[in-house]
Amino acid sequence: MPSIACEVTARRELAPEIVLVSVHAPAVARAAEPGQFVFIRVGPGDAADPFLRRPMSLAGIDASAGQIDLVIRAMGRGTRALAGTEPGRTWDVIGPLGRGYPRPAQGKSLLVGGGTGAASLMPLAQSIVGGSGPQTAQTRMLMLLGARSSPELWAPGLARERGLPALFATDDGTAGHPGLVTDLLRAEVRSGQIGTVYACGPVPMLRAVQEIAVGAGVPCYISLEQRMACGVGACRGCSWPRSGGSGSGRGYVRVCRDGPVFSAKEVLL
Amino acid sequence: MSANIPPAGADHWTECLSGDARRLEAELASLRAQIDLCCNLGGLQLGSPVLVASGTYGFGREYGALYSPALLGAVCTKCVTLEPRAGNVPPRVTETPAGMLNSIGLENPGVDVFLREELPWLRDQGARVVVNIAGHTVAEYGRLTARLDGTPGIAGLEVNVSCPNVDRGGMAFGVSAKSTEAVMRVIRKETSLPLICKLTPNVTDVTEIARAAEESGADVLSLINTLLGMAIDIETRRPVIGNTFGGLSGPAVKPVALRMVWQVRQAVKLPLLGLGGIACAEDAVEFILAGASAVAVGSGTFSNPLLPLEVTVGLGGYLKRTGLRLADAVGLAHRPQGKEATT
Ligand SMILES: Cc1cc2nc3c(=O)[nH]c(=O)nc-3n(C[C@H](O)[C@H](O)[C@H](O)COP(=O)(O)OP(=O)(O)OC[C@H]3O[C@@H](n4cnc5c(N)ncnc54)[C@H](O)[C@@H]3O)c2cc1C
Ligand SMILES: Cc1cc2nc3c(=O)[nH]c(=O)nc-3n(C[C@H](O)[C@H](O)[C@H](O)COP(=O)(O)O)c2cc1C
Ligand code: FES
Repeated sequence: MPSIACEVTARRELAPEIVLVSVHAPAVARAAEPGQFVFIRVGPGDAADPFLRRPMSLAGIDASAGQIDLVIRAMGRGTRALAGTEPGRTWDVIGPLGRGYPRPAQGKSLLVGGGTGAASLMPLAQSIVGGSGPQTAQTRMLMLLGARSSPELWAPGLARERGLPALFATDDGTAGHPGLVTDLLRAEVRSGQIGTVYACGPVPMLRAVQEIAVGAGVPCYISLEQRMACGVGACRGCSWPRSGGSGSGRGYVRVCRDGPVFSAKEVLL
Repeated sequence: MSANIPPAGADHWTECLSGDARRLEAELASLRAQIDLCCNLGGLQLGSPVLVASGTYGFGREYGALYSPALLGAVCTKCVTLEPRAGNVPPRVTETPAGMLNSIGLENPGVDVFLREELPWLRDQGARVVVNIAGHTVAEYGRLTARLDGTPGIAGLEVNVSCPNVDRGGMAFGVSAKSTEAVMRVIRKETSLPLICKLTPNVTDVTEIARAAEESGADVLSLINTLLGMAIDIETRRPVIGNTFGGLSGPAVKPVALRMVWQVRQAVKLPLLGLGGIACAEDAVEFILAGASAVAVGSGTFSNPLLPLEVTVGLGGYLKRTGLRLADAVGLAHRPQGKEATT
């Protein structure tokens, strides 16, 4: 097995079942762009089981420290093992993979995140806020973060720590705006001057974001999740239907290599 | 941090593996100076007995960014069909115990795009190319073969007979000796290239199909293709795979594959290409001892992109350690009990 041993340097619980893990992975951190992901082996390298790697978005990229951050929700066998990893242990990490978020257009960017989807938006938000120019953080970018209920709402805390302006919503009204994160998006888009909308989260949320942005004529990019086998574009296991696609052999895109970020017009949601 | 977006297909991921790739390349070069890894597989002259399996290596470009495909015995391409195909509805893959299910279907850009855009690239890399061909009617296999025949850079054809036969109600060609023969005969008429018939394990008696392929013009038999299986999501209470069924591959299928190589070795004279669940060099050695003249690494590449090179180096190391010549190791496990291997 290859010797790509990346040390887990820190681990912190952000919410029940959701952890922030920092990993020393210089080769990944050096080349990574917001929106890209890594592909992690669960368990020892030569084990036949679990057989496939797990895709995880980059929630933090620090090229100078050679470090990446991941936000992992323990939902199944692999993510439970990864989320429970103690600092000092090593992981076999391949990356960075995929195509990340394009640069924002002129005007304010809105970054809409649902659930763990907010993870991939964090480095993007940091790069927009940290960009040069006369604008303040608030006029450049706003994160709109949603969760089902307040205990699951991990993202606003992390945004605050990193100095990223954010509004938030919970479906059950236990924190922030009572209702959907897309309500917040609708209000912001109505206020005008929006340059670009970015979104990552569950498909119903992405569908609503797509409708609102396309309806307002604002460029919109979304990040998709699909089951993967190779992660590098070789197997066509992660196919997602293109919008307007037909049975032409060009009817699907590969989430791992053509994405995970797509223009909202490119794919069928 | 810049917000530069790499173009689709940036290969930065290979950097984290490049140290290991260069080490394996050096080990392979040093082994080659000491032992002979070349093999003649039914007329296919290969520099190594370790190939990569169809559908797990695309047309070579992705993993080709990590190491040269010329280091492989050959690249068995993703299947190619006469017309472009979109493939099956997603989700197409899911993990299973020590393996995975896939229902990619025949997704490929069609033979014209293959010949124009993919084959020249592989040829330029110095790779030996085995084109995996698929079709839905006997006539389609014939026309496809005619289109490929005579193209420089194609070392051989591997016939995927696991496709549904539309003239027989969608039953796979490869589950019937008669349909397998019909396909192989039509292909044989159109080309003198080495022909590999890829056997499906989803049959009652694999030796019956193996004999049919031998009699209808195959030069090599490869086995096994995937085992038909399924998985159900207990939350949605629906099959996980969009197409309901998928093909099982990975370490879980290795004992089945090995048993079939053993049986087919006893039933036919043709050289065999053994595959199914190879996850390390020792697995490859087992296939060779069971009767395979060469092996292919398949879905094991997904978790370890360097597996084909590791298996090549490990197999070479085994031959060096034991003093066995590759050709003498083939089928060695069939010798009567008590008779020792000659070294
Ligand atoms: C590009 C991308 C980025 C992602 N980023 C994050 C992230 O930042 N944080 C996070 O917590 N999760 C993220 N996910 C989802 C995460 O990969 C899955 O939750 C994880 O693979 C589930 O593995 P498991 O063993 O726990 O679950 P199981 O259900 O036991 O897994 C079984 C198989 O299904 C696959 N699978 C199951 N759910 C998903 C899913 N939603 N997406 C892809 N494959 C799945 C697994 O990889 C595995 O092969 C991302 C997925 C993709 C595609
Ligand atoms: C994603 C995927 C796609 C495949 N596509 C093809 C194909 O197009 N043609 C073919 O003959 N076999 C195809 N196969 C079968 C493999 O070539 C191989 O026979 C099988 O996976 C068993 O080997 P393994 O366990 O090492 O993967 C595919 C397998 C996988 C996993
Ligand atoms: S997972 Fe193999 S092509 Fe995307």
